[in-house]
Amino acid sequence: MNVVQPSEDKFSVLVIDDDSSIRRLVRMRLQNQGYLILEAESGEEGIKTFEMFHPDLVLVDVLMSGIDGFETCRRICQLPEGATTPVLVLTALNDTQSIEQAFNSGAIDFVTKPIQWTELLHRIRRLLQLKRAEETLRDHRAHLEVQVQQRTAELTEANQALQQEIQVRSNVEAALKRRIELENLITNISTHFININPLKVDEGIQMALSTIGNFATVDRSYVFLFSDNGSWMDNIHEWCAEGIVPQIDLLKSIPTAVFPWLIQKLARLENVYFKDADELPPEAYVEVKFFTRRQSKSVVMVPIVYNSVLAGMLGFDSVCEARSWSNDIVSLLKIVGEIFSHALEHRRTEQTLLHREKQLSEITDAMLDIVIKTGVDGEIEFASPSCWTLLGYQPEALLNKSIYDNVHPDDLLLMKAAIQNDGIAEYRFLHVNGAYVWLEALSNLLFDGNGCVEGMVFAIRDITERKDAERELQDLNRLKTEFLSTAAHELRTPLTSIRGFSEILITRDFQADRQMRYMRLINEQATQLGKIIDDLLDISRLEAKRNLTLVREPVNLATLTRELIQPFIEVAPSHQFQIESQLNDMCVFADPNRISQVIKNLISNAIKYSPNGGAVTITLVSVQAEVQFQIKDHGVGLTQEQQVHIFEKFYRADASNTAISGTGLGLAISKLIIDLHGGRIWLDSEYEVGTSFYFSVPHMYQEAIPA
Amino acid sequence: MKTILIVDDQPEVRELVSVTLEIGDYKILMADNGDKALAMAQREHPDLMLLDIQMPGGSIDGIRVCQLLKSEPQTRDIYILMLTAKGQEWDRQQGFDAGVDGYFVKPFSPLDLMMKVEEVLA
Repeated sequence: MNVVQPSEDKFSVLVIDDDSSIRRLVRMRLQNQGYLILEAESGEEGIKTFEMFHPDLVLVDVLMSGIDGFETCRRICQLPEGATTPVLVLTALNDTQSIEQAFNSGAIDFVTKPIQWTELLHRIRRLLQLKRAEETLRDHRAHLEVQVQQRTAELTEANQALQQEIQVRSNVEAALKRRIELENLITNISTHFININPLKVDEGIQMALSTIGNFATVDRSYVFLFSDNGSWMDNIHEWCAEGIVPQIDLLKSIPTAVFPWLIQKLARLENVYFKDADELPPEAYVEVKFFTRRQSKSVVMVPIVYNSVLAGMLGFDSVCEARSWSNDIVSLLKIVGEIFSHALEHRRTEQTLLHREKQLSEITDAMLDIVIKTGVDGEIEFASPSCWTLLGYQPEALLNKSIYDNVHPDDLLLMKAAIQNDGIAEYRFLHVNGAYVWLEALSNLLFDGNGCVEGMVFAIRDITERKDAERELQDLNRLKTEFLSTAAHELRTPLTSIRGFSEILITRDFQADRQMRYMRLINEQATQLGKIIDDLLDISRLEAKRNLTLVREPVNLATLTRELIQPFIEVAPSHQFQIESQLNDMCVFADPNRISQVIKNLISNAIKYSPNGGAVTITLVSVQAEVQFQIKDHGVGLTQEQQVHIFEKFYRADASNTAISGTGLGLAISKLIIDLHGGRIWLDSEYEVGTSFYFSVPHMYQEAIPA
Repeated sequence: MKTILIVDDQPEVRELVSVTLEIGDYKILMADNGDKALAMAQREHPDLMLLDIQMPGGSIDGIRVCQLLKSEPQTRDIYILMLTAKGQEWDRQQGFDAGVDGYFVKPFSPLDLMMKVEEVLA
């Protein structure tokens, strides 16, 4: 078999004939025409060759040994490539039957032997042209088909992508819409809580719980807050969807130790959420029980934190159905939890501040001292209410006035120095009544954050009383010194005679009468000295009233006077004594010894200062609530000057009068005694005519009442 | 013979001083208040005055008497020895400010006074 590889552009022709000369002849003629020739010497070989090389045209002889040309034709036509490959039957049998048989076996045409070469070549060319055209058409159609299929596939794909895109886009849009809603929600809540009145925080939380609960379509939203030490918690707010039973009243003062798993997780600032309680770890069995009893199928909780410490929690419950929680829901809770935390913290700070302010104002209100706060130049910014009681100014009236304006000009330097030293100063401040009061002020400079002075604060106290007491004490001290100095002088006088005459007696010799005289003088002066000392002690006791207790009892002044006058009658023969007393009650509630001292002193004075004798008249009368004692003499009398000083200590009306001895303390002591009894002592005198001394003491019943 | 004027409101003191000085050869004068003392000093011009301060009987005290005498040329040279119970530093200062020549405080030793007087009048 000669195998020639068919070329692309040359038609190939398979010649099947058992006559090799025919085959050669066909080859020669057809090759000359530019065809490629395949040869087969039997029908079987021809079919194999066809299957292998797919020739463009088959030329088959009818009469062959083995399978004949018809059968070969039929078999070739049944092959896949055969249907489109033209088969020419070569036959010597030019009869109708053979021709019919040839067409029936699938041949496209026939050529009779002996071969008319021009006809054969023409037929071959025509068949091949036809085949080529068919093939081209078929190819074109197939290509078209492919193209249509491809396009259809492309369109289907595009359509699917579009569908998908539409789906994605609508999902995105829905999510975006939800997102915007969420953001609006958060914006609304946070706007509401910014600058919220601390008194309205509860109301705000309640409203926000309802808003977010509705938004998240949960059944319950709630807030728990922990106590300061974290040992218990309260369900302070709850919102429930319709048909859900509130539980808030059952959840007060719950010990946090009951929920160790939940609290520990929240304390680590982790969120707690589950779709089904079965998801929770075994150690959360108490919590599982709790949620079950609460009928919470799904729960999400976020911690509420103040200053990085767990202060409470905010949560959602789903009661009707189990649901999983999206990130958006958890984020929403977290953000709202933070808003609540800020609001609650703000409220707490505000309440603390208000409480402190109230406390402070209560303190300043209650203080007797004044607190004043001023600016850096002394302008008053705050004055506590006590400035009304102490200084007569309403606190408001002092505002914006300078604190320096009312300070006594002489004390300003001292005051300013004290301010600079944060020290205490005493200064005079102008009371609203125009008088200065003494103040003691502790001042402190106030500094701002940068260490600059921004004002001053004064704690002021009225020390007028203390100042008065100090002055009184000073006066008292001066009086005491004066008294001591006067007393010493008075003691020196008799001592001068005692010392002088005794020394003279020791160092010189005198006749007996002179000796006696000097010794008598010494004795008199020593007696006088003793009297002065007694009177001094007496007066000092009377002046320090607390050391002197009057031993009071009912005393009838008329009776007492009659007793006291007896000794004087004997020693003063030139005087005529007379006592005039009313018949009514002359009783007083007095210390009889002290009153006797006064009466004796007055009688003694009356005698001493009426050296020429005469009548000494004592009159006792009851005047209103008092018993009045009067003693009248007809003696030397007292000048106006003497009357002024007569009750002063050591004052003696006429010391140069040797006939009159005395310590100069008698009347001063008498005055003190009468003062102690709540009575009065006075005199009425005319120089060189006579004197009347009076005293009065309240009636007994007057004194008895308070006793 | 030197003249000594004793001025004191207390009669016992006047007596004590005069007894003290009676052993010397002096002419003794006495006054019991400031006014009398001033008049007597101007009239008698004594060599020495023993002068008390507190004398309620007159209108002027011993300090004033001293000032007045020391301010007059005629009486300036009278030696004035204060004899007083006012013995404190402040009292002495007042005396010396008024121009007194010596200061003696009661109670005093008559012997010391005698020696002082002898010294002054020597």
